[in-house]
Amino acid sequence: MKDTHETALRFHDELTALWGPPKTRLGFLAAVNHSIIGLRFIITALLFFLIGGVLAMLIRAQLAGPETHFLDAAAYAQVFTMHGSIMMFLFAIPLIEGMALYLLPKMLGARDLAFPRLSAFGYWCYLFGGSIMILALVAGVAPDSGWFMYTPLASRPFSPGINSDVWLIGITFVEVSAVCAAVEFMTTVLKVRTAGMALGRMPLLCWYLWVTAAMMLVGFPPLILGSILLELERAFGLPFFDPTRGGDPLLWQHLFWLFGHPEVYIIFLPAAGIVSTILPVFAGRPLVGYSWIVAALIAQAFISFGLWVHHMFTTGLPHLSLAFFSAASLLVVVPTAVQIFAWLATLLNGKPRLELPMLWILGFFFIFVAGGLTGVMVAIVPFDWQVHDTHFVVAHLHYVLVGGFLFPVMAGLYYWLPQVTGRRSDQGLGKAAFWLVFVGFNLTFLLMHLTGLLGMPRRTFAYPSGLGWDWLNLLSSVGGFVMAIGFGMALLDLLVQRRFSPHAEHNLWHSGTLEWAMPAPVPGYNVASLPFVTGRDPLHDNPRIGAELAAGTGLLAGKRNEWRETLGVEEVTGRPDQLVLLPGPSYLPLHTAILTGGFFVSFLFGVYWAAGLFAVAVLGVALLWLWRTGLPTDPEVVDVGHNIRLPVHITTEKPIGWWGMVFTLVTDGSFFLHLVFGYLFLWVVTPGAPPPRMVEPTLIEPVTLVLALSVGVLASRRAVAANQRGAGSSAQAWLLLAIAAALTALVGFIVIAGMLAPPPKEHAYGASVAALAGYGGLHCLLALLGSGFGWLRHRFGYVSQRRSQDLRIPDLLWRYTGVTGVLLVLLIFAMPLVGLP
Amino acid sequence: MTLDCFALRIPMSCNANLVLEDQLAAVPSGKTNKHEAAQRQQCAPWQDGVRRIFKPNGPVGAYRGEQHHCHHRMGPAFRPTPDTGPGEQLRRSGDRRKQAHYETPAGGPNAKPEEERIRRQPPEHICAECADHKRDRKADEHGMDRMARDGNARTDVKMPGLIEFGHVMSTRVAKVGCAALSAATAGCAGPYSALEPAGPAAAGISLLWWVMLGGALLILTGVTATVLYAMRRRRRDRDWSEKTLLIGGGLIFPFFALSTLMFFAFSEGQDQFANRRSGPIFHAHADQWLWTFRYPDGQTSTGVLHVKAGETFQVDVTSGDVIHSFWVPRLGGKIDAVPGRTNRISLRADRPGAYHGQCAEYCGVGHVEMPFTVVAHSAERYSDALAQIGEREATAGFTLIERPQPSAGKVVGNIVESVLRWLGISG
Repeated sequence: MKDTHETALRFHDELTALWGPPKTRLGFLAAVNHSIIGLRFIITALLFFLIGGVLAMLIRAQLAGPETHFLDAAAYAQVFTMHGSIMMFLFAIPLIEGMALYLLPKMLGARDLAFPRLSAFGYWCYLFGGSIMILALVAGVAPDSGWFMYTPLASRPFSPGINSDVWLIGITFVEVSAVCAAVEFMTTVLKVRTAGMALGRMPLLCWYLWVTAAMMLVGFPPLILGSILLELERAFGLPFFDPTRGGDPLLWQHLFWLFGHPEVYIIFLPAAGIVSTILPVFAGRPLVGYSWIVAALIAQAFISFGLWVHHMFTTGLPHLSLAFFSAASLLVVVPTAVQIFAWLATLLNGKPRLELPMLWILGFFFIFVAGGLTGVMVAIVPFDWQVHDTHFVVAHLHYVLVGGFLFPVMAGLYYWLPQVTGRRSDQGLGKAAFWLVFVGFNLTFLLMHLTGLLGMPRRTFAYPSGLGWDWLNLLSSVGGFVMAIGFGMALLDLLVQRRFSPHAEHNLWHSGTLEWAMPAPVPGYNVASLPFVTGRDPLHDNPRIGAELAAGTGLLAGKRNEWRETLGVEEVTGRPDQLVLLPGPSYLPLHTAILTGGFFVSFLFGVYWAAGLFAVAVLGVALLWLWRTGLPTDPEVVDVGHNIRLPVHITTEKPIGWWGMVFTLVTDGSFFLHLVFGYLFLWVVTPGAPPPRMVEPTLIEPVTLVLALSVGVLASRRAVAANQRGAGSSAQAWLLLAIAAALTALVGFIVIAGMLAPPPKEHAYGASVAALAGYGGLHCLLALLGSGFGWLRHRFGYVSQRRSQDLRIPDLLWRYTGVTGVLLVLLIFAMPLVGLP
Repeated sequence: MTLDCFALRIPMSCNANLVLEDQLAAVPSGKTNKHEAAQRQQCAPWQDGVRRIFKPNGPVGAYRGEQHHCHHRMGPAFRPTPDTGPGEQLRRSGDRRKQAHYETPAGGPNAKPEEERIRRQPPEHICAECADHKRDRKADEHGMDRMARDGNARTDVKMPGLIEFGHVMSTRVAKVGCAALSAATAGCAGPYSALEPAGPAAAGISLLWWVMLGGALLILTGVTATVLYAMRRRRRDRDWSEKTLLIGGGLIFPFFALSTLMFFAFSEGQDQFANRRSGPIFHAHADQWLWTFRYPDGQTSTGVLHVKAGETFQVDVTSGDVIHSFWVPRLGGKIDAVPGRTNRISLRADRPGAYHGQCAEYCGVGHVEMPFTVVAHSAERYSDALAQIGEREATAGFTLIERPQPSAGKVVGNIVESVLRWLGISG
């Protein structure tokens, strides 16, 4: 027994030193550990929540009475725009990212996420992007066109200041972190789990987060694309959304809501995952219908991409398409209902106990179901014609987002915080806070439905007396302040927990998932040895598993070679198939994020030459970052314990980096599809004058481009094959050919944009051709860099027959560039032959 | 900063009384038809004094007389803005575009003598209102029949029976619902209330609302009760079939409930779309921050649209700058004014009266300053009303004023300043 204890302490000491950030004064800036980064995300998101909450109180103060002179129209516009933007982009999504960063590896029994440095980079992007927004608010130049930034109001002629640019650039900067997180979560859940954790044994929260990450991969690109196009319009006059030059304001609405509606589910699904995790624990029985829920949430994710038009019912679309989207909006109720009834069945057949987290879950039930029901109402086309853009919709969306997100998240914070602090919070304060929030919330927003039905539009900074709105608004404001006090108390409760609350027993809620097998507070390495999982609730199967793992009875006990090790598993079965070596603390993520920030800030202030320099610098640092990965020699097959011998990940066929590239290309593909959607939309749907000129019909450029792209793809494949055979010099030669092909194709796309396309400022058609060519050109440049990088790595001995990922990952990029490039050539040159509709 | 713009939102304001008073004075004695008197007052030439003050905003002022008709129907919740000063009146009318957001009144001394006149409520006026009230009551009694008749007359309606049923039921259900709620909520009435429909489109939607509200309350009660029951239940005497709950509650129930709802909603929407082919077509053009209406005969008016009561009409909505939205809650839903596109909405006012509309899509700092009024005239007086438009617009002399750009106000400065002002620390 004593031996075991000493072994555990020895493991703890050596692993803590290995996984922690450097012990220098600024070492915390180099931290990449998922627990640290996750907590940073959560704390930063809560700070932004406070700012957004203060803005909400300003709104309620302004609307408390008729004709209030508290804020003027311009200030009010900034306040409501920033309230929405902060709560959506700087609070909700990052808070989920933070919780996922913190929880995913622990629940999966891993030591860290697949790409720890990427998560650190994501955090800095989030912090800097969010800070740009807040600084703009302090300087009085915050965005002021509403959080969905409808054009033309957000376009240059009607928003001449930098307010809109702040939004477009700040949010895009923040979304970089969301996309990074999505790629990371996808790869982590797919590959970086502990032994025996088959997909069907994963905790449900991991399923939820996985589906959410997939939705983020596909759902964020339209927003990023829209922001880039609008910024191009604002900065360089490319008229994508300008109806006087062939653009279309509705294109913005489509792109925004193609993101915006999935976003609602991106926010809701993780919260539902929290409910599915916490509710069975307090019901004292496993959740009813595990596979039903998995099926339901996958269905929900798919359907949620077909609903975006229900935000556009009043824009004058034909009734049949409205009816289609209305039906889809109703259809999404079904998977939601499946989950709700699974929760109800679990409660009915369990022995529920009412702890603090459960109280918030009960609040969630009432508010979210109410919000869902008003959601059904606004999905009804004629009814939406009345309540669209009124306070009814404001009430509805707060019911859904506060009920469907904030309440479960509060439950989650109360549930998991003992794991962070090792203490449990005060019941009395927590309960009082809950009731204040619950009562205050309903007072604010239940009445607001009626305010909307009595005709009060949203975003009115003041209203006259005598319309029946006065007392409703006054009560809403009172409720708003009650709710704010409640949230203040809840946050205070969580804050003082760290210092003053009593120590909590281990696994105080008697949960079954692996994160409770870890010591609390959790050390940087999570577990001293990785468990072998045989069921969905390992802690229920073996309550002593935590102590056993700490003593090194699992896999990968202790440290070797200063390697930061975790297991890689087969995607479905969870059988270990590789040893994943994770990178350690580094300042590179911070430096890259600072340079990226330099790019965005120079763009914001219109110093485009500096933006160009920063872009080059970002590419340079990114290559340096990549250069420091990998090993210069072939590693041996390693014994991970229990007589299991595994290859190191870089010697496998599909290492985590390869999967990371696959998921990056998925998000890139979504970006491409939405770009093509925009091009075709402007071509087919947009009314207005046709373009004065088309792309000149030639043969030589398209043929050259297609040839160059084909040669590039083939050469890259041949390089991989040659390397596989051990023909090193041949591989290098093929890579040089691929570089030449990429260069040719790059020149081809530049010729299209610069010489063949009509001037991009003249008409949206020219602008969209330029955008397509720009996309193709950028990817040729990336393929060029990829092949060049592979060539250098090969020359410096980082590539061998067994270590071939530096060739195979760029090869993926090449294939993608080839396929999209040929499609682009077709779209650009064949469409003018088809003609206008 | 003043909020004088709001006087526009409450078209029934002091100058309406003034006009009414003037008109009533002009009516020959012995005239018994009070309604006609009230109706005529808007058509009569302006009194000199009035013209001097209100000239730039003639039409809006003039219509206020007639808008008065409907106000007694709006219930106790509606109260006209009292004591709007003459300075504000003047600014409102003259600098309508600028709305003198941040400007000081220029109305000053010249307007002073009028103040007392404005505030005085002439007895005749009140009587006129009573007469109208009676008349409208009478119309109300036959309202159902007339609506039904109109419904049948429409040949292009897909499901006339359903729609008739909708109109009748929505009125009844709305009345019952309002009666039930009014105790707690002081009523669903209001000049912008979607729950006090005055036309078939709004009535159908209002019916949808009450039906959906009932269903939603049932479901919400059911779920909440189940959760509380599960939390309270001490003895676990029986297990609930999990399959039944999942299949019954998760799949079958929502599927059938929503399919039914979808069917009725689609019919309602289809009906409103089917109506888009009949009746006169008006053109509503939105600019920051003003509505301009064009009539089939080519006339234009600003801020007020004259239509014939009981007749379905179309509004083709366009925008000259950013996206706005045309919305008359008591007549029907809204339709966006999207630059580069023309969107159509089909509406009908069942009875003569003034129905208030507003811009519903955020369109910049002047968003709240885009109210307008749809005035429905009885068939016999409609041509008179149309004939008056040109004259009024000529008198009004609206000019296109340059659009003030939204300035990037210093939010924090504003907030601090406002807080200080609020606390009385700074002037």
